[in-house]
Amino acid sequence: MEYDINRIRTLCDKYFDGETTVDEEIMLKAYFMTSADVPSDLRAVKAMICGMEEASKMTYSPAPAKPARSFGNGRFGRIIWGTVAAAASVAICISLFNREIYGYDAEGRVITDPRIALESTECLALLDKLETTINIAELLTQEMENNN
Amino acid sequence: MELNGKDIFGKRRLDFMFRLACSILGRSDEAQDMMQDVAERILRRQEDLKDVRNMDSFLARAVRNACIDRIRRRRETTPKIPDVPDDRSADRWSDRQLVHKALARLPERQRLAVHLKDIEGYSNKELADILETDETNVRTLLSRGRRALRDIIEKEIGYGI
Repeated sequence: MEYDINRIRTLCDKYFDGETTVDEEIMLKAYFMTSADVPSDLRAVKAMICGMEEASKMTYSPAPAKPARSFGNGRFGRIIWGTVAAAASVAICISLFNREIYGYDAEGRVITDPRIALESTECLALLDKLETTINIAELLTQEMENNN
Repeated sequence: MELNGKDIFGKRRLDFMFRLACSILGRSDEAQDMMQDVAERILRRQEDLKDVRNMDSFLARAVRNACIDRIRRRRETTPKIPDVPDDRSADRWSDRQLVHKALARLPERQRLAVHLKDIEGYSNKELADILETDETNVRTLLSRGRRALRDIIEKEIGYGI
């Protein structure tokens, strides 16, 4: 559609005086929305009218809600649930057999005597230390042999 | 509470509030962020809603107040907010962003008048109702607001008359 630029300028003046009718505003909008090139003195008006037209089409869409964190999923959840399940099994065993379990011996048998459990733990700790010392000694010996 | 088209505001009014927040704050991401605050504020005063004569006017005021609080907080946490950016980044902005940034710099009543008329499409009579003034004053507000908006945009994009 061909527009009379003088008519557009007159409408712009009316628009900036706040005196345009609804029809005149529709015509101004149509001109600026459809004209790629406008006189340089009207480029700010084009940016303004096109920008307001774009702004009028904006709609609100709520940001998607973040999924609730669940203990059931993921590695952390599996560890938690694994621990809970193990604790529950022990609790069930204790309640079933009505006796305190303090640990397990080398054959996997239940230790119900706290004194024996403590001795067993200390013994295991000593064995562990001894094994570490032997390993270190073996490594040092190997290293010396290699150097010779 | 979740904000969606089914709640008490209705989709049309939520969009209206969102667009107004964009014009006041000058940024759509911040406006998006603020919508939940506004809705919660209004719902806390749900009893008062029965007495509201003009809902759009009421919502516009609620959005305005929430935006002003937000701008105040922004000033408290931002050491300096330059009125006009030093760099010529305006050429990278869309027309809409340019309009929002320019609108955010207008005096409050001019900004509201221009927003309601040119973005929301209200008539001068409806504007007079919302702004609690007469139509002559509405035309004055529109004239001053539009001229100021054009001047800011001209300065930003570097084209002048």
